[in-house]
Amino acid sequence: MSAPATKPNDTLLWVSLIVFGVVGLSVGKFFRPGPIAEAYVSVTTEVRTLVEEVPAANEAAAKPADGAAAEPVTGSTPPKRIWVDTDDPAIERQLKEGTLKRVPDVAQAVWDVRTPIDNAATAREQMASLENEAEKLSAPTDSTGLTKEEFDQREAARTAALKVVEEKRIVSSPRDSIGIWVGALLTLGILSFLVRDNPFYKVVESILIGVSAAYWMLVAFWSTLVPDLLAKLAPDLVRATMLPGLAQSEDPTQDFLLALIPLGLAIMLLWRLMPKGGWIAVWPLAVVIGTFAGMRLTATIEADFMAQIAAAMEPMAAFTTVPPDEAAIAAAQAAGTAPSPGREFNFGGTLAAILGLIGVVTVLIYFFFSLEHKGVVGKTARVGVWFLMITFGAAFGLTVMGRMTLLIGRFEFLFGDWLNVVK
Amino acid sequence: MAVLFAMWIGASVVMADAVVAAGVTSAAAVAAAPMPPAAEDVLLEDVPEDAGGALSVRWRTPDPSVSAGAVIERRATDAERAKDPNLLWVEVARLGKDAVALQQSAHVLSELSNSEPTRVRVSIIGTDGELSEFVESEPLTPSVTIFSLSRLPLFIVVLVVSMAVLGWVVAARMGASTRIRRIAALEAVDEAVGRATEMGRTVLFVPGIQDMNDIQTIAGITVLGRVAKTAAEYDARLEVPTCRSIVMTAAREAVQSAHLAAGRPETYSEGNINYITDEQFGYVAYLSGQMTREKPAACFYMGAFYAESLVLAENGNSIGAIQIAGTAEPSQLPFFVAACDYTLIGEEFFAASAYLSGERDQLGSIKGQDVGKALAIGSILVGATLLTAGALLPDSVVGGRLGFLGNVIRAFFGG
Amino acid sequence: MLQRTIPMLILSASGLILILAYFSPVTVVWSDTVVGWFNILAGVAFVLGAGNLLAVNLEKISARRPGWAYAAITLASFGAMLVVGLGKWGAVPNPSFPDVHLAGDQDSTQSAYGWVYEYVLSPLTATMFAMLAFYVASAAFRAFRAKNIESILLLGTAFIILLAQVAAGAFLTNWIPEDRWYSFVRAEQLKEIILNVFQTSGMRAILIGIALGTAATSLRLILGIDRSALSKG
Repeated sequence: MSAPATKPNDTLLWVSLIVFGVVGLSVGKFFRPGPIAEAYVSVTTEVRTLVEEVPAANEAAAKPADGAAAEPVTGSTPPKRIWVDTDDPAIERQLKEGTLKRVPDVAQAVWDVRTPIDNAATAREQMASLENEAEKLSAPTDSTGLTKEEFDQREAARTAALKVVEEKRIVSSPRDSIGIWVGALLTLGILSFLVRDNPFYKVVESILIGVSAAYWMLVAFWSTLVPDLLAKLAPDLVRATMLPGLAQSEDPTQDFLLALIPLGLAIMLLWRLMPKGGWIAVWPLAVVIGTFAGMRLTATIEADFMAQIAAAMEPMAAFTTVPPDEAAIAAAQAAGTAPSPGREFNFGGTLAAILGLIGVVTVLIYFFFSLEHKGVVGKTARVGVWFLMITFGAAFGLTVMGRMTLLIGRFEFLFGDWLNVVK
Repeated sequence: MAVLFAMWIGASVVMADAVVAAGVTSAAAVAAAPMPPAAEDVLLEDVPEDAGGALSVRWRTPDPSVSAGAVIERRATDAERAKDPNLLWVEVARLGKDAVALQQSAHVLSELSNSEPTRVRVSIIGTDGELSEFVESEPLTPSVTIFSLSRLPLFIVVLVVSMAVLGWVVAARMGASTRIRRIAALEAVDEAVGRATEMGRTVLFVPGIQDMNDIQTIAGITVLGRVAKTAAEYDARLEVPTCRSIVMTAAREAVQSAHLAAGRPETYSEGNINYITDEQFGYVAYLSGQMTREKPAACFYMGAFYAESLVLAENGNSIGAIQIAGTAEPSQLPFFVAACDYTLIGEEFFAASAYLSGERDQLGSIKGQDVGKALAIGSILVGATLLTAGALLPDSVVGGRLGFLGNVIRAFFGG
Repeated sequence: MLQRTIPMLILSASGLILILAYFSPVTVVWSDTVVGWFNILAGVAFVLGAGNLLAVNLEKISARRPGWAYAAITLASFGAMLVVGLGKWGAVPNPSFPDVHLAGDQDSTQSAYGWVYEYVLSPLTATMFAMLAFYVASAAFRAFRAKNIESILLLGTAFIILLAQVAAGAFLTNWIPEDRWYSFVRAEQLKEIILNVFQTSGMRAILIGIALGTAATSLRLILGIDRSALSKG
């Protein structure tokens, strides 16, 4: 037994791969519009300033008049501090009005956000047009025929426009370019397995295992353990270090106690690592198997067993609705009512309904365990197997195109993003 | 009501005139946005089949054209008043235009107290934002449903299926026949493990790529227990790489138990059962490499599989291993069927552990499953026949009744 | 007792509770709670997986087993990814809390973690997935060589479905009129019939079987008839 696609003639394949590569690269050399594996990003600079709320003056004055508020109005709770974008007009206004004020001695936070641009050619076009525009805007302008006011106005508009253009930065990104190289080599490493198992594949496989194991652990840590376990057990610590936006719970004690249950189960499971008492790990396993067995029992009977039985109950005769015939119209006119539409026997639909019913019943009979597949039962089960094979064939046929699309996607990455031969 | 409404309109006109006379504002502004008519027939109703805590507020909006929304307030509970004695009403909903677009409106309030009666009051918001008078409802306590009646058919079916399985287990204990048809894939297990032993190669068992919360993984682990017992008896090396940490733990438990059961606890080695990675294709990359290098003589794929099914089966094929697959993932069955020597299709996979155990109890439970299938076939045939009668004789009394009965049966199963 | 009876009792009790919980509106939410607990349990269980990964590969390296260098690569990439991901290296600060480093976002390629995801993990998994195109071809080729009625049905159906999805299907059968009794042999109509009549009924029976199998497996576990998953001996 040998699979033709996994063990072809090796020499032939290596030779054809090399020829393919050389031809591809040299063809690309002539037609390539730019360098190999180039990546561009657009960069925006974000600035955030720490501000604090200024307690409203009128509120402070109104409080004592209430009579009820005996405690000092200010000083009991520190004013709320938030990081804001001072370019935001709403924030700008609040700063001007004095309801917000900048916290002194705290430096602004400044960082760049780099957004990758998918298509290198587009990025280059954008870069050129931005450069062009900037050049045009920074050229000195003629003031003849303008009043000073008009000239100043125009200059101000020009400076503002230039600032906008200069803020739009599109730069080539070496780290993303290297990334494309890495991705391409790894892709080739996986594909090389089709020829045979080789050291290149082994390296790539080892990287894949290491990186992916860590990846899923990180996903579990950041998206489950931190918000669902740690945030319940130590909300203040989590808020200070990882989730500053974590909302205050209504009942922290209850959250804490409820989080202890999965924590307890987890500790029992981890107890296997201890030299003694590792058998306790079976307890959480029993909880998992028991609860999910119970849950699936009802869910599957409802969603699969009952729903499918209901769906299989179709009349074994199909009719199509047709416009009312003359007799019906005449009868309706005589009775003074609207004519009821007629119906026509639908042979195809009836055949389909009967075949569908035969399919369900014969396949179910194939699954019977008490009956040996002999005699009538054997023949019926055989029909059931045919139905199964057609079912499987249909699924097989529907999948092929999807897999082809995936492969084409990888080739697009290799020849487009990496080699830059195709667009 | 209409009379009252007319009087109210008249009053507002008079008021408008008075306002104009006082010269405070223009008559047009007030007349364009009169104070909206108050809600009528404010009524609280229990939300059926729930865990309590929810009530539906119904009211009538007399004139949707001048109403822009509604405000619903709830009377403060005892606990709330204990905190703040001045608190009488708590706003629980402020609804937009949609809530009063029709004359009959309803809104469901949740998180209400199940222990004391709730009383609400509703006010209509006018198009100018002015509130109408509040209208109060009668008090009502949300009722708690302990058993959901809409799930009664499900309850009955679960009970019938369970009783069928349990009944056959009891019957098997009392001596009823537990003969079951031969399942070729399971008959081949011994042969496959035996061949691996003879050739001095390993047996590979892949328990799928899902975690222990998938019943297929659980079923796969129970099959692993059986295969491990055979392997322990033959003294074959069984390798179980897993895709999940908990599955690794469960597999170790099952294999260790199997070695104990086979009377060879000393041959159990934890090192043969390892966690690889949670990543589907990382796991497959490992398995593909491992299979070509180690060339296991027998490969078992038992559990939940997705796209990797074909990669595994084709690689196993290229190294000439005997391959036995079992899954209830309908989309992957075609690939296992096409590329493996034996495939356990859906229900066969779930019966595998019981079949391999050879215990009377377990074989009896498999026969119980047949009762379920007979029930399914019977219901489908009866239902379809009744519906056919209904379709063929639409105008006759008999046909109508039969069709109705068919629809009742179909509705019982949720259709 | 502690190792055999109690786990069995725990399993049965939790199973029965979850079955009954489904029928009462008061308790139906318990299944969500249990799923939440399971996710936490699975998250903590990574400690076991990571421990195993470290143990296996370290053993390979220290014993200088064949291929120990690959074990070193696995460990290095595992460790590197874990460190940059936990420390959020190069993460983009959270605009509302730029002073809390761990609140940053590491999805973009600006961060080390995002870069590895984009240029290492996703090309690798996508290529592994794309290789299926070759495997589908070789599986079809083998099924083609097995000459029995089952494989002919499977492959023939697959072929018709494939043909109906591509232009060739329409090209080959478009000359057949659309409204005759024999027009069902047109590729697109044949595909509809196969999917709506044969595949639907086949799948329906498979699903009914799976439901019964699932239910019986659950019952065997909950009632303690099948103890192979847990008990020692």
